[in-house]
Amino acid sequence: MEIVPQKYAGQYVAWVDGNIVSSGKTQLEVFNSAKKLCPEKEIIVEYAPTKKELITFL
Amino acid sequence: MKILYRFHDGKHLPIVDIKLKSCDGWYNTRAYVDSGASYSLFHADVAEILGLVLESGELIEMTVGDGDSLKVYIHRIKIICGGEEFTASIGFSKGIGVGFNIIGRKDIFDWFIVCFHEQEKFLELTYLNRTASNTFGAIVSTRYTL
Repeated sequence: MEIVPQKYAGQYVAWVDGNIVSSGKTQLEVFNSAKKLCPEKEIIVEYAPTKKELITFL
Repeated sequence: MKILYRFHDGKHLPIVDIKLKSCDGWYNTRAYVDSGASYSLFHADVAEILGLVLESGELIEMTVGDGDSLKVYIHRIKIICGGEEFTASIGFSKGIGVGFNIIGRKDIFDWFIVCFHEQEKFLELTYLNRTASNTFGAIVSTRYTL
């Protein structure tokens, strides 16, 4: 399973075919960017937590 | 279904794939499974991605960990989680203080037995087959996919 590189901590990333194709501060901008780049592909958006968020009381 | 924890910066977290039905397909994302959360909670911009009008949902106020309250709009939407499709109450809010989407108990935990295997770093979702004559559900399968 692919792992989000640490440089994206605190951001959302969009995966397409196992590659990160966009990143940013909101899911909306990341999804829309990925959709423009890869309109026919399956996009998976996920959040890369910061160090602080790794130990979370939700 | 057996789902390996996601690895982030040295930690393993109970994060699973979830699909939310949108106006033109499915929105694929990942969410943190939080058995302490009453509702599933997604950021307000996810409502926009899905084509929902945020404020048309049922407004409820949720209490968060530090005692503050959070305005959340609940929508009934189709989801695919643990390989199963069903309708669930999903909350959307502009005020979530963490980046994660959160899967809480409402509806989703009604459909599955959810077991956290902390030592082995995986989550096990066992689907309950709910029918009118079997309101408490019956375990229909335990599938293992890695």
